[in-house]
Amino acid sequence: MRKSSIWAILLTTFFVGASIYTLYPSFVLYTKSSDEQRRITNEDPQIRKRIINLGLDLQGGMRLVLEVQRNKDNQSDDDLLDRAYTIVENRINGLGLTEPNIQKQGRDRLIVELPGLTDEKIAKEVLGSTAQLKFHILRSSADLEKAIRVIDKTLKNELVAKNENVQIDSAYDQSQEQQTVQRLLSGSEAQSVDTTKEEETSVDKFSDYLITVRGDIAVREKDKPAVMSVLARPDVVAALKTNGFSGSKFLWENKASTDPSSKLRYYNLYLVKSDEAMSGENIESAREEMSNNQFKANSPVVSLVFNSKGAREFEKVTARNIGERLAIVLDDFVYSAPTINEKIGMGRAQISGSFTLEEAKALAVVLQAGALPAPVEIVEERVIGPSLGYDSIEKASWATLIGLILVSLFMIYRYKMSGIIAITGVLLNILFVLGIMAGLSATLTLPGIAGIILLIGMAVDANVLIFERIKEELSMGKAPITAMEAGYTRAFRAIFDANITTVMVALILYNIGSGPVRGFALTMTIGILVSLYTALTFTKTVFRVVTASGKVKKLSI
Amino acid sequence: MIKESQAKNEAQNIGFKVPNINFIGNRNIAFAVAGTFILISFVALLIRGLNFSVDFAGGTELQVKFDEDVRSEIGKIRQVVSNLGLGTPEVKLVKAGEAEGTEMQITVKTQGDGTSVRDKITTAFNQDLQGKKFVVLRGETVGPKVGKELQSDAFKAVLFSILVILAYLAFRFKYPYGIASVVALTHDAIICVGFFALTGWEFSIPVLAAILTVVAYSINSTIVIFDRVRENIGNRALDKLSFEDIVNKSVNETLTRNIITTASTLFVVLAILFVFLASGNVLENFAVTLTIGFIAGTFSSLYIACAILVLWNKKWPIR
Repeated sequence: MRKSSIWAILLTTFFVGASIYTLYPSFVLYTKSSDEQRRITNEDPQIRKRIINLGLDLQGGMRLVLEVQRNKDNQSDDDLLDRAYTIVENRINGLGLTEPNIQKQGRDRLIVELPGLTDEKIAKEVLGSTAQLKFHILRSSADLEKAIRVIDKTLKNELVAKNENVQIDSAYDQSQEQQTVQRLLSGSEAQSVDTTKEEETSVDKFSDYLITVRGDIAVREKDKPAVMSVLARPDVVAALKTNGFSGSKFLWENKASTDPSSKLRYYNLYLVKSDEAMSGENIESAREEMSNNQFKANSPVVSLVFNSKGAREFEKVTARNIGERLAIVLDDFVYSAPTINEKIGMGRAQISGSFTLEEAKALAVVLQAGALPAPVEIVEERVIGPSLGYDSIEKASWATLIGLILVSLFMIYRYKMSGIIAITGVLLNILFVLGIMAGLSATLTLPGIAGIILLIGMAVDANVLIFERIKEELSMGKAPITAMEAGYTRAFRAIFDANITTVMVALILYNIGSGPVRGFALTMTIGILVSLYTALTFTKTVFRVVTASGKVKKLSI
Repeated sequence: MIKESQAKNEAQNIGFKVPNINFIGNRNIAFAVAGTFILISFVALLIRGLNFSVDFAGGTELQVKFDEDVRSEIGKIRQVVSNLGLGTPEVKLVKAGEAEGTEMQITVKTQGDGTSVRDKITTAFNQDLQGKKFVVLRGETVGPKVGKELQSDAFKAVLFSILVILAYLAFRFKYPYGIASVVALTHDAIICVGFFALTGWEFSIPVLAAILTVVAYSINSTIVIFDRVRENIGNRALDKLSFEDIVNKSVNETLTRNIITTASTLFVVLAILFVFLASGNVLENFAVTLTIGFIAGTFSSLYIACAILVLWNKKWPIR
């Protein structure tokens, strides 16, 4: 036997052994039930570094791309993304997921992958929140009523002015119409008769949108856009300013509440003093717990503990505002607005609100990890349910099997024994690719599996080129060994060029692609390089060993 | 000597026959065929444009699965979605199975705050489709800015791939070979894109990946032929043949293997297509693109790349 054949046999055996070795942990893990898998990965998180991980598209989960919003002040701040990264990482770790993954992309973006998490609201609260916790004192209810009257009056004046004016302000006309429609649709129970009667003379009253719920002013979910547009109108803003509300602003409740009897969803609307009573930067810790408060027993709350500076500040604020209400505001949304009954000196506070325990936890995580250095925006978001991923794996397995059978039958039909050698090469190929992926603890995605299936087709290509060349050489009357050697030598150049160009394009794809598509580009690249090896080394060695005795008169090709 | 080799040939019984098709002679027909397809593609692109998926257009796409069969109520579901005033949402039935219920895909393109679109739709379903249980299988939201970036990235990727191939072939062969193959590749890419413009099927990231794969793969046949051209040019015995004849001979000599390599790859692509067809899965469009691209690629390798090489040689001799 030739020396090179011995080397090739040793090398291939080594690769087979190495692939089996690197694949073994993945094999052990993925043949277990999903509960078992979870238990194993929890016990030994390091196992993730030794297995082929499944992409989000296969196991379900969430992928988000966050973009740090730069403004004039932090435009050239190079550390901005790094700081955002650290905060986001802290917040995510607080959620206790098994294998979160965060990457920086470019100068402004973070890619966050959260396998297993499909509750988008939780993720959004944790990641999207800039977590500017502030405390604002509420204006009195008498002030609030006055503000509403001011707005009503402004709208009425506007209407009169408009009727006198022949020129039609179409934008306003439209919003007017919209509001009327919305009011009709909403048809508040108590006033519905009145409003329809009033429709002819149509006095557009801001207060019509408002309802009272347990002493607070609230707005029905469907009326919220209309109310927001009224509050944003320049004339309304100006009127409020001139009527003593320049230091005040309206803030919304963070999420809709549902009235248990009528099933109506509404948002509370609060009027607070614009200047914050204190900021939330001196929080030492925040955690979710069940309330033991006598009014809201056993509902989730977030407990805050201030550091000594914060505690002093909080004591001062509460002492000065006994009897007033304190709005707890995170990112300009009011989470709760308890009344201050007494001076609170222990540096502890509670945020209650209508949240679930998970939401309370998410809020605590955000407060604990601190504020992001700049607001972030979610610019891309993908959620894949676990059942879809499972379905994809099943389908992909079928496609792989069918593809393999078709190609095998075809190769054996066309090339007899040589076809079997080529197919063995393809199987080795798949083994090596998976082995390398396990070694790199790479991620297998659905397009990645497509890459492996394609590889079955592409990996035989090199062998087809070689086999056809051997046939050609044989037809010219060469002896099997000579024809075989010539076939390999002469086909090499074309095979090499063809595969290198494919690898180059795959690398370009890897660079522009994201997530699943990257998986495809990766398996393609590894696959092509591996198939170059198997086609040129493995099958060649088999041929050489078979023809080594010189007794073979005919190749089965 | 000749007899001996014939005898050996028979003993081996490999039945190697070189076809003799006049690829180069029929180049005008080939150009007309290719030209027609390219023209159709351009017209379709101009008139209909591409139906970009949310990857590129920005927006929200939801795939929901109902517990029961709601095929009869798809009209009502459409109504519920369009009542939300989210522009013109697309509601499409993906898969209807008897036992496992119905899957439905809802796409809303370029709506400012995408994540709330998803919220709105699921809330509306909960409210207005009494008792119909559903789960969200998949939800994707891409901001408009990201979509725009991806569009230009996609264009750059295809362009860059073609340039890289051009450079490599110019380096390994001579630059006319590079240009001839790049023209053939561009043809393949245009036909794939044209197909999506014509059918109005969604042009998504996996489709782009498939087009790049077509570009990378259909060069293989061209390289095999060009390699043979190069070899035959160096062959003293063929010195008296014209360049045109050498190219034609090369195409014929490599024809079987080019057809077989494409066929073996098409087998697996068809396996993917067959298994994923009508599943609303990313691999569905991916496999369709590959099928079209590989066929176009084989055609362009045989007819276009070689014909351009011959035309080039007439003006600026390569040999």
